[in-house]
Amino acid sequence: MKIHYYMLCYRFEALVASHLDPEAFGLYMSVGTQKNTRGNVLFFEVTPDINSPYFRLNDIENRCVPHKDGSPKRSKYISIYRVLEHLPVSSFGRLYLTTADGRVLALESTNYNAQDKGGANLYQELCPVSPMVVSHLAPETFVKFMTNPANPVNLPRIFFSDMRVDMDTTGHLAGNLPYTDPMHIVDCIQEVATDPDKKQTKTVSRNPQIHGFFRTIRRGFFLGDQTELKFYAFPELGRLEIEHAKWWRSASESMVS
Amino acid sequence: MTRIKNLFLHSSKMRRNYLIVLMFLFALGYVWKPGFTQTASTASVEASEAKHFVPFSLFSDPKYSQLEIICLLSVLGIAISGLLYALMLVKQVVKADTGTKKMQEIAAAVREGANAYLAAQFKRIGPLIIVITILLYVTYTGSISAFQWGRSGSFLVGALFSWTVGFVGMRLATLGNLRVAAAATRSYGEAMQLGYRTGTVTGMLTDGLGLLGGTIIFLIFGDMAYEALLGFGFGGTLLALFMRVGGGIYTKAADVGADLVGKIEKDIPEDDPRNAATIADNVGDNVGDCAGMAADIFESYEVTIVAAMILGMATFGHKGVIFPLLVRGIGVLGSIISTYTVKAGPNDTSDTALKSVHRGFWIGSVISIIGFFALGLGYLHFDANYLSPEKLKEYASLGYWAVDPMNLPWFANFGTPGLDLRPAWTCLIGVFLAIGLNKVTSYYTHTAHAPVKSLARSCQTGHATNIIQGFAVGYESTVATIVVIAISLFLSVLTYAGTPPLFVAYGVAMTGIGMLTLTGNTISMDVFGPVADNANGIGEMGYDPVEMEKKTPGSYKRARQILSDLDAVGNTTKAETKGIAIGSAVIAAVSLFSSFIAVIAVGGEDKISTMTVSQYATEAGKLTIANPIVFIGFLLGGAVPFLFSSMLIRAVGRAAFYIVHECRIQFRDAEIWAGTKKPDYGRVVDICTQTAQKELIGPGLLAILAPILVGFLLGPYALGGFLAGMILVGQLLAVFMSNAGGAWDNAKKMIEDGIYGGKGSEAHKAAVTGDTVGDPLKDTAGPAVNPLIKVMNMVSLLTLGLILNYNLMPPKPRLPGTYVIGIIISLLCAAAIAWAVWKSKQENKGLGNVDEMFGEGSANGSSK
Repeated sequence: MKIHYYMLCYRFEALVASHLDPEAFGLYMSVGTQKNTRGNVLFFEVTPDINSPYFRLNDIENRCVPHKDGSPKRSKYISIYRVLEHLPVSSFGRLYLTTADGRVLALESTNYNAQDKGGANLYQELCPVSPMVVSHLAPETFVKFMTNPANPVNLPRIFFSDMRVDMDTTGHLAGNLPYTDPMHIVDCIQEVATDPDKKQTKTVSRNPQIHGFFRTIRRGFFLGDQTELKFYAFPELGRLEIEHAKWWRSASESMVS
Repeated sequence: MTRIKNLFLHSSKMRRNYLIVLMFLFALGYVWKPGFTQTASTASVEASEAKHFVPFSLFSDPKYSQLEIICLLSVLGIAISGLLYALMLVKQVVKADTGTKKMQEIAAAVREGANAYLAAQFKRIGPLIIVITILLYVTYTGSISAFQWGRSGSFLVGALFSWTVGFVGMRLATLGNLRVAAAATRSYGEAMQLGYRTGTVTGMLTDGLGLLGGTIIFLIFGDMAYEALLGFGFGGTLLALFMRVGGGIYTKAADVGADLVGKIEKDIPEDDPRNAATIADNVGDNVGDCAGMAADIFESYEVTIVAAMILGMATFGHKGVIFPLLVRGIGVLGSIISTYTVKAGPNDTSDTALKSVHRGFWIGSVISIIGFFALGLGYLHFDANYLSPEKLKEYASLGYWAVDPMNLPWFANFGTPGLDLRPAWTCLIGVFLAIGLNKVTSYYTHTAHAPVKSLARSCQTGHATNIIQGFAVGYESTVATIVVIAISLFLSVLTYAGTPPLFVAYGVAMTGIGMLTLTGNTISMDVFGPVADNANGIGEMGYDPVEMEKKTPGSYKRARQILSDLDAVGNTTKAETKGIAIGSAVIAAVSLFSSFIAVIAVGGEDKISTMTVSQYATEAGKLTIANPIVFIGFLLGGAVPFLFSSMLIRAVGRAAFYIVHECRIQFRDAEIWAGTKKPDYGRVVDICTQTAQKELIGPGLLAILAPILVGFLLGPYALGGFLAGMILVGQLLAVFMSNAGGAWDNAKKMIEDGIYGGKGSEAHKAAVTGDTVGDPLKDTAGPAVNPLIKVMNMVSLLTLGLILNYNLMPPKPRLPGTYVIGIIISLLCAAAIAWAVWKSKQENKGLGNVDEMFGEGSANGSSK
């Protein structure tokens, strides 16, 4: 059986080998066992030619073997710590978004060439840490800022999503956005906007519960460091409703974060 | 599904046998016995009295003019026209496109489940109906044996008609839902029209059968139709109670079970095909909202006409009986015309569709109002001899100034001596009452108004505040509803100011007739709800988005939007009709209550027309809460709707427990999760069916036996107090439960439409809690209180003769033997009620015996 490699990047960080294809793996992680993950699961497919001494991969063929009854090995954990920073950016394949009930949507990486119109952005960091922040930095600049070793607080690499901050006519966040404390987000946006030179980012929440997470995604997901950036564009609503109807229904009706 | 098929096939055989027995008894009751009575040459006193009864005698009775006979036959023709119109609509619905194979499979599963449920219910209730038929026959205390048969035969017919309305309506709904889903891929207007017309079939069936039954009974029994009418009304009422209770338990057990496991535990969307309870949930929409509601309105339709005809005979003579039938005929015509005008354009929205439905109701109302007055002007003429000089003298001596037809207030005759338009005025009040109740219900349950908005807002601060606010909205809505009903009653009383109490009671009964004039429209609106809901589910499970988009770009999204809009319209119309259902129960009960007092006064319905005002006033005067016995009855009556509701809500909890367990088992199957294996939908349907059947026995016993127990134990006056307490509390509780539940439901929908964070937000979770609490209130207990009110009234009236003879609190000492009978009946009733209450409090005994109870599930062996 072919061994696939997956990097779980939300809700926890791990490199896993599995005989399951990505859809089956997503389903398994969500609902496949009694120890399933409650809520959404995000993972990357990782190319098999991982060239990193950090991971013990030389005997994986012996460790990831089918069960005695011939059924595939669903998950063999290779590493559960500091995985993101030790995988080369080039080894990250598709990003899979799995809903709580196991519907899987695959996103291809693409060039990010959007012209940032300025103004505040809301970012949900997903790996290796997970605060929600407001920043007037465009995504690619935000990646560089967060992974800059010169900063007192920095990360070797970051994976985050860009979130919607649609405003209604009264200056409040649009009513359909499921954020727990929308007033606070607006306050943070205003604070950053007041003096962008002084404050480039502002933490909204250290560990937010993101209800209806997939409904809040704006442009997509970003993975990068000082040298590389990968962008996974989130499909437009029209495409989601038609081409990925089941996934979108599951994602948009989810009751868990 | 095999299990369902087996159950259904087996039960259809059973059903056929029952039908043969029922039809045989019907034929006996209607044709053979009256004819026999007429020709029997026995020398008994009974026979000598019976010879005065001649079936169809009104055709040769000089009292009835040719015009009246033609009118009655026309009413019969209109009733048949209503049924033919329903048949025409059936053909339109059946002929429509049935969509893809996948959609057909889903619809077939829902249809099979619904059929299996009603077949199982018929199997369980059938013997009870036959037993009650026999009891009605043997407990008849009058002296004319034709009435004995008429009463029990009419009971059977009433039950059969009620069941037919529920069964056919539900069957059509399960055919219509598929066609609506298929039509939504083409046009909004086509889908909306098909959905509404599917509902209209049930509506016209209710109209047609109700009118047909009442008219045929009157044609056979003429002036002496009261016993048969009571039997007819009781038959319809009892079946409606069982259909409401069983359907209510089924629908909410399936819904709550599906939601608890699907949405809450597994976080999957509504109608996800991987959820084993999905089909049962859709079946529940049909058996609860469609079959139950149709049977419920049918019984109100019957009971109001029974009350009006009995009181009409006692006040205005045969004209007072014929007029309600003619009014109903006008209503059927109005419904035929107005329901056909309900249409929507290909690109309409839910707002315009709702306007079209409401416009149909208004058109029907205008036709009916014009019809009432045209009829009144042509028919309600009375000559100077209409009331005997003695009666006129008695009325004058008591100060009643508005009885003499030659000297009525101006509004009653517009200055034309002999004309009496007061029955038409009270019908008009009834139409406004229906509209008023629609508006009140809509105000408290629709998203456009303040109460639901306030509930949605309260969800932002958590679950408890939503529940608290929902209670407040529900309580307030009961006040508004009761004020509307009280104003209508007051206007009826004003219309008959200066007349004896029975005339006033007739006015109230005619208000009920007016209120239910547009039953066809009301039921169309109600049944449209589950049809649209199911169509939405079929679209969700059965549409192939990629294929549809390949054929016509944009068609999938458009079709889903159409179904979603139709679902929203259906929710609104369904909620609105609940107000009418509850209001009609109260009006019918108040009318019957007058008959109840009259029967106590004279000892039997057959003597009501001989009753004097002072007799009525004397008996009514004894029904005061200053009399401790009456007050005790009042207290007990007030408590019964709470006990009844408690039993039903517990039943939902117990049934949901098993469904949750079964769904959890099936969710352990990885192939079901992967969508590569179909869940065993049939097993959940079986569990719902069996538990609903089992659970309806206790509440049914309470409804039938509680008034008998109070009557025999505490006497007829306590029973009067009991009925008064039960009507008041039942009405308040039913409105509270329905409106609070509806408001919670729509507050959740408001949030889901994108306010306060939309789906998945904290506010949404609070709204879901409110909706879950409200579900069994609005769809199980609340609606079931309507038939409870009517059943208890009908049982009281039907057993009153026996109660007067054998109760344990007689005004004067009686023979000791009569006490023994009273004691035995009281003990039996008390024991049965105690057993029902004890059973209702039984908790689930655990899951060890699930397979034993429901058979072994196919998923059990495949759990991974």
